[in-house]
Amino acid sequence: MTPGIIITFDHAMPYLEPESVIHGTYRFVDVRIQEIARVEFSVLWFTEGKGDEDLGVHHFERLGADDEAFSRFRDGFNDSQTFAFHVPLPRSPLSYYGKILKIRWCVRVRLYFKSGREINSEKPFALGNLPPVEVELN
Amino acid sequence: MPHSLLFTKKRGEHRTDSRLAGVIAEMSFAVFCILLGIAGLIWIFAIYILPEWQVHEHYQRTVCTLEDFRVVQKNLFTESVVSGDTGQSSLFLDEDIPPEAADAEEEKEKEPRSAFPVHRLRKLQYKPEFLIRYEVDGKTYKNWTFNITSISQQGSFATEEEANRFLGELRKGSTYYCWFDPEDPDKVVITCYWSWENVGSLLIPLSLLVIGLGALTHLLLLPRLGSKEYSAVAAQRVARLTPFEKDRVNPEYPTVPAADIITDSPGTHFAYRLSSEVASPGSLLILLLGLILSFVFVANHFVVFLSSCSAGEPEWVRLLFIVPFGAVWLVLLYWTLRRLRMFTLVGPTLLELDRFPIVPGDSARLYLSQGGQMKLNWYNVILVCEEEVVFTHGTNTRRETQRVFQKQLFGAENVQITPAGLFETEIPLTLPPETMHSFVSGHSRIRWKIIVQGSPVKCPMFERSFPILVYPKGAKP
Repeated sequence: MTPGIIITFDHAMPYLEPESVIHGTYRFVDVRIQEIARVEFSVLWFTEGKGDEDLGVHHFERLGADDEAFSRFRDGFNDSQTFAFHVPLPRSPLSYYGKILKIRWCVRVRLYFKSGREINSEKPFALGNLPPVEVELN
Repeated sequence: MPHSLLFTKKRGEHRTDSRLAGVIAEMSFAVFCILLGIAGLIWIFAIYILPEWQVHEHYQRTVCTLEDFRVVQKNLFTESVVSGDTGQSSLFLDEDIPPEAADAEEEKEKEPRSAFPVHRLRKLQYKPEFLIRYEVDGKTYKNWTFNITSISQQGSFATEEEANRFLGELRKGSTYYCWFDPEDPDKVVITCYWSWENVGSLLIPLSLLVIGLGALTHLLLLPRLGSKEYSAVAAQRVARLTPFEKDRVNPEYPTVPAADIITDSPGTHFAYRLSSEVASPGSLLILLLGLILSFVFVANHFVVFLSSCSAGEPEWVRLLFIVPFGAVWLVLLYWTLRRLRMFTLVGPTLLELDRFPIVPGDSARLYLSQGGQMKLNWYNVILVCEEEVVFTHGTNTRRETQRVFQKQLFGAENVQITPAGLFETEIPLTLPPETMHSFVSGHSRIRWKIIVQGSPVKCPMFERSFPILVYPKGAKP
């Protein structure tokens, strides 16, 4: 079996308002706790389009196997256990779908194995409810 | 679609390079640098440093008698005596080269050389050699020798004349010091010194080693350094501590530019005076530079032409330069005068905003004042929103702008402006409700601005741009 990460949001809305809280869980599939070197969890935005990519990390957590905080991880670790997150969102930047620039938000989890291998998974969400840009040159 | 080895997925208009391909490329580079560095170190040690060190530390000094000398012509592959005795030598002598072959070699030397450095290896050097007689433990030795280095060009001369000049300073029958190997007295030299430049040349392979080991360390530490999110967090923390950078964006509204550009200048009619983007004077400077250069060129040829005419031998060929470049100069002069006239005709444009912050859907009022002395065919004020991105294309950095919103706020025709009577008006400003706020990041911007543009009679159009900040909905003063 291939190891994987599954991220789930608790809310059913297609978008989240600025300053609201994003709730969700992530869990690892076919991963043994002994294999994990560290886990990185982030809530971030990035730009897409013609320009070079920019990345803004709003929330970042790093759990190393040697960290004390990893114990809560270890204690609850089994294949059925999920790890919850609650992250208050900022006021900006809003998700934006422009012509040569797009701003996207996502939750991203990276898992580093002791062997040096790395897997990651991301789940997008929208901050704000802006419609895609229709060029309006009046 | 399956991912290739070099590229993984396409994000926007960019392909994401494969991590595996990147690691392989970096690993190859590191290994190449390390191997080259090690090879260089071994080469310099074996050929230059070690032999000199042996002479310095192990050879014994004694007195020898100079019996004869000669000049040996050598490159990396061959040696031959070109002047002096061709007798027995401890070095290999290519004495069997027939004259025709030697001539052919000389002819070869005269041929154009390729850029490949093999010609350096073939380049002839002229090395003096000395036949010395010396005694070790009661036994007499006679050997041709000079210095310990047989492969390098140390102690060699570029021409035979230089080598002979060097030998001219020595006298046969005189006594000199020489240094011999106590374990093999046949090995002897008459010079014993440290070539410090050889130690300096170690810097080249050492640099390669440092680069290679650095790249290798980076590769090994890469998994420990963390992801690009981790790096971004570190960069964000540093940016917050950096003077100026922390003022660039509003901490309450990440990625929204700081409000200073609006709030720093109080207005006289409304609360905030908007600052105009300074138009780049580059084009006018280029025009002026072109004007000066073309004038100097044309004037120079014209003066020489007039001189030749007065001398009775007109240089008609100079007209080939004077006529076309004179025409270019006249065109440049026309455009420069037009631009300069614009600067004097179009007076200052003032734009003031009655409230701030403004958010999508807000209504506000603008005060516009236009000075100058001109008649305008038309005069417009527009609200625009533009996306601006910066991207690297090879070694170039390019900027691209896309206007995604434009709305006319004010328009008038046949406007007369005099120094005594400014053109003044108040203009309502309403932002569209479902629209993006101002945004700035490393390579991208979303800019809202008010553009004032006019078309003076008999003059080119002018345009002045006043950036405004649009905050996300819910922003409070």
